[in-house]
Amino acid sequence: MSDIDRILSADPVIEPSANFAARVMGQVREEATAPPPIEFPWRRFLPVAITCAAVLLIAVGLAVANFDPTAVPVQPEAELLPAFDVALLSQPSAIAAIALIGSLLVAWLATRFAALPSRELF
Amino acid sequence: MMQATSTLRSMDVVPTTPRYDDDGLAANRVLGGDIDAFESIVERWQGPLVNLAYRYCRNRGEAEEMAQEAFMKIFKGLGKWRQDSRFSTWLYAVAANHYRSAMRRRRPVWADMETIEQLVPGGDRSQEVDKTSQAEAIRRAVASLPPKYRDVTVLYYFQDEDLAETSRIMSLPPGTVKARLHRARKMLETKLSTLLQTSPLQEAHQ
Repeated sequence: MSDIDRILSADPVIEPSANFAARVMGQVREEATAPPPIEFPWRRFLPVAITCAAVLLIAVGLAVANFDPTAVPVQPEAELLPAFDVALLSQPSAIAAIALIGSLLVAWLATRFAALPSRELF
Repeated sequence: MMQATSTLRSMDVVPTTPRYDDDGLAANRVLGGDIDAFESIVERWQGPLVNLAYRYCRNRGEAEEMAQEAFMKIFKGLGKWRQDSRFSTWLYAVAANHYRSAMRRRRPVWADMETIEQLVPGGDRSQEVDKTSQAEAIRRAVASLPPKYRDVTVLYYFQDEDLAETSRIMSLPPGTVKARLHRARKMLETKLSTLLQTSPLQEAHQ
């Protein structure tokens, strides 16, 4: 048997503190009596998530279906720059952007709504 | 200062009047909602788990903290114990796994060879002090091994050099445990070559 074996086989014992078991049991009881973790509000989240996804899909679908590169008039760069044009709303990308903003707004409202105490909801 | 009274083997620590002599019975009571039955498990295993933690971190306060966390993991995971395996094997596996994670989060204070060299005996100290220093240097050197070698070494000696039980706790084939132990010993011999060459332990042994 080498020195290493002999020394490692003869590691000294340490005694746990007198209140160690009590401390552990205190924590165990605390854990056992703690209220269960708050469940994720799937009931509220799912309809909103499905609505958002549907809106987004419809918007993307519309954008793809209406996309026609030949229909976009080639204009000089200077004419494309004006920030907002009513004609812009007819572009598929604009529809998609509006749908996206709408989805984000609904999601934000949902989070605000979910943060309210349940008694204020019902 | 820690109370070092004798050597520890994993099963040496005798529980203090546990309510349930059988871990399986206590575990089933806990699973049935009797939280107090867990106290029997804590009382029975506090010594071994604190000492196993101490072998990882070499710090008493930290060892108790790690053991307490391990007990919480055991309490929460009690339902996962498959009762066809020994309770002690499962308990040590959960604890060793937790200690390994805890050590990963810690600053690797033991990896410093200078610290180990400082523990190598000086010329003007007594042989008894030298022996203690050498033993401490070897234990620190074990703690400074790469985790996969350290874990096997710590558990193997803690389990009274029981290769089969060590391999069960670590969920490793016995051959892998043996190979890692061999490699760990070689690494320790290399690290501690100068220390072991001048060892009073060796001199006393010759």
